[in-house]
Amino acid sequence: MQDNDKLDLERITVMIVDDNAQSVDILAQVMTGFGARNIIRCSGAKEAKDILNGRRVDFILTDAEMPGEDGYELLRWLRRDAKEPNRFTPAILVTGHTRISQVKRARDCGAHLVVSKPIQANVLLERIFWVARDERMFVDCDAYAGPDRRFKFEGPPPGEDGRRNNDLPAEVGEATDANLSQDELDSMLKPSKVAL
Amino acid sequence: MTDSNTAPSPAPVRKYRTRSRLSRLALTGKGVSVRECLQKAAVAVGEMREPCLAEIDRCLAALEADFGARAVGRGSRDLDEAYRLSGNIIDAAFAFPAWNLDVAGRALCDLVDGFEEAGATDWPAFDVHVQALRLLRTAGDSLTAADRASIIDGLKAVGRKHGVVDLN
Repeated sequence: MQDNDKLDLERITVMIVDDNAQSVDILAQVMTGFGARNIIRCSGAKEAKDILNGRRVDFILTDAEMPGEDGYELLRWLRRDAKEPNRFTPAILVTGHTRISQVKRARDCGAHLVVSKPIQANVLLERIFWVARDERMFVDCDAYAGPDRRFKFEGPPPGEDGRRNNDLPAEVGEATDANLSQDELDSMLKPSKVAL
Repeated sequence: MTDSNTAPSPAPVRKYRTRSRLSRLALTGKGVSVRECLQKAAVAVGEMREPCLAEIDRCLAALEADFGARAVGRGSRDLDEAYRLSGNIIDAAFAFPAWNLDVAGRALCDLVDGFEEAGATDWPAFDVHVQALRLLRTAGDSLTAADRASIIDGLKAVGRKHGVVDLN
């Protein structure tokens, strides 16, 4: 993110979900500063679901811990049961503290990113840029629905075969072609004139 | 008769390439520059200082009244409420990033979460955290960064005794 990069949120509908009214105010103030004009404020997951069932929302910021139905449950519902296009809407989960028992739920709920509270404007802005540029596939299977949780591919873990179709074993097999001759190696390394 | 050794095969994994409206509309090169976004957000943060301070004071007073060292019957109260109050302090601390109230609040959440997992409460450890929050709040800007860091180091040491892993 550079100082001169621009963000246009004027036509974007933003939904903020948090049971703490002051947190909603904080997030709304910051998003207004970023240029958002259409902000829907929700005090809980149920209210958010009712709205998401009836209109398109382009970006969701939800608190994780809320009484009753929490932010993890809301996003899980969004990814599995909401109508399109809201089902694919970019969503950031905001959390002050993640309980040990909730770590797996945070990973599996289908959020694009998790941002810690207290909200820092520069961090939130950076994450919005990141989510807007995000090109991860949307994965839909029995165990998970949401953006691909694998951010980068660095091969399978050491000692394992991997589970992706394009995972290759770490061991190098026997050569299938004849070795290069010394002349061929030299010609690859030596600078030579080329006609341009 | 069905073969009990045959597990139902899982549904196939489907993958979609989607492009959100956020991607299409927000990054067109128009709109507000990063610099301007952050300047406007800083103004918004400034406007929230008073209400945030009031919220921190309210939560801290409730923590001391219901769960502090002098609170009567604190052992019978639901610790989840202390967790919630501490979480609210973390939220409101956004207007005072230098005070470290969020770090102390998170340390208290870690501790309470650990107590709930273990089914036992170490009140002296709890009290140290509430007192640290009070000190950070009362002293505000008058504490040096080194003083604040030393308070947080003390809380981390207490947390480690209770199995809290410092991920920062």
